[in-house]
Amino acid sequence: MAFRKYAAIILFASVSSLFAFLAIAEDALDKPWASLNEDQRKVLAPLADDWDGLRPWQRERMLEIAHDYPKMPADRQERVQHRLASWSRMTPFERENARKRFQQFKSLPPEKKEELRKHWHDYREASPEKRQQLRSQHPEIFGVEDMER
Amino acid sequence: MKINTENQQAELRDQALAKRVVTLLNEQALTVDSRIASQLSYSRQQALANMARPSSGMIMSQNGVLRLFGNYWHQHRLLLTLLMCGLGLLALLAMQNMANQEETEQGDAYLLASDLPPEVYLNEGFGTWLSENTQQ
Repeated sequence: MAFRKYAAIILFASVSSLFAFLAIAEDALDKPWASLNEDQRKVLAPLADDWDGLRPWQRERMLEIAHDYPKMPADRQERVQHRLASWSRMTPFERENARKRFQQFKSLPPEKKEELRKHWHDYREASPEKRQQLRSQHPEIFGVEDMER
Repeated sequence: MKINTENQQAELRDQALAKRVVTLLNEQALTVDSRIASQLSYSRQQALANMARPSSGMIMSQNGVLRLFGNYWHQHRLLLTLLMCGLGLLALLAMQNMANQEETEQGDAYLLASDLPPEVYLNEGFGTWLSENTQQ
């Protein structure tokens, strides 16, 4: 009889946890701009005008970015903010593609990564004419259009 | 006194009837085909073995603790199955939560903060270049 009682208690706890988890997940998915805290709004400021039009799962992704943002040094934070708006305008397919390639980039040998970083550093520092020249030399890296930062 | 005598007579009649039934069955048993007799014998042994077998494979002790659990399992199969499903679900949610945490560490923020702008990753030529260089 006592075992039955314990079983009922555990079952109740399991079901309650499930509902609590679903409630938390739902809460994360449906957050209008006004409900964000000050830190989140500061990070996601470039998206302020578009936020309420974003799909719930897009908002969740952006909130993840806001969550990771404070862990980064200032120069990287600046990059995130600068790139946030264009990132949010990409299609889900493009973003997924970028994520896959980012993972590939991370798995490159260190010397290849360093080589790429150097190319990009030079590209950022270069004049518009020099950039054009670099694009025609390395279209596989710089693409065909000018990319800021 | 009279009632007792009637009861005793009824018991005697029942016993006599039972003896007649036993006698008849024994007589008929002698005429049963040997193949059927061996099948019946086999079935009887199976039935006895089943009766002797514990209600679950868990009865190992003489103190009845495991026997109780075995009986409990048979009586409350549905409840325990639900309980196990609940625990399985909780384990699944916990694992998913851990996986999400790992994913967060390499989330979109790190992509946006990387040395290369996200537009670069959309360049098909860069995708090909990456594939070639990661395979090397």
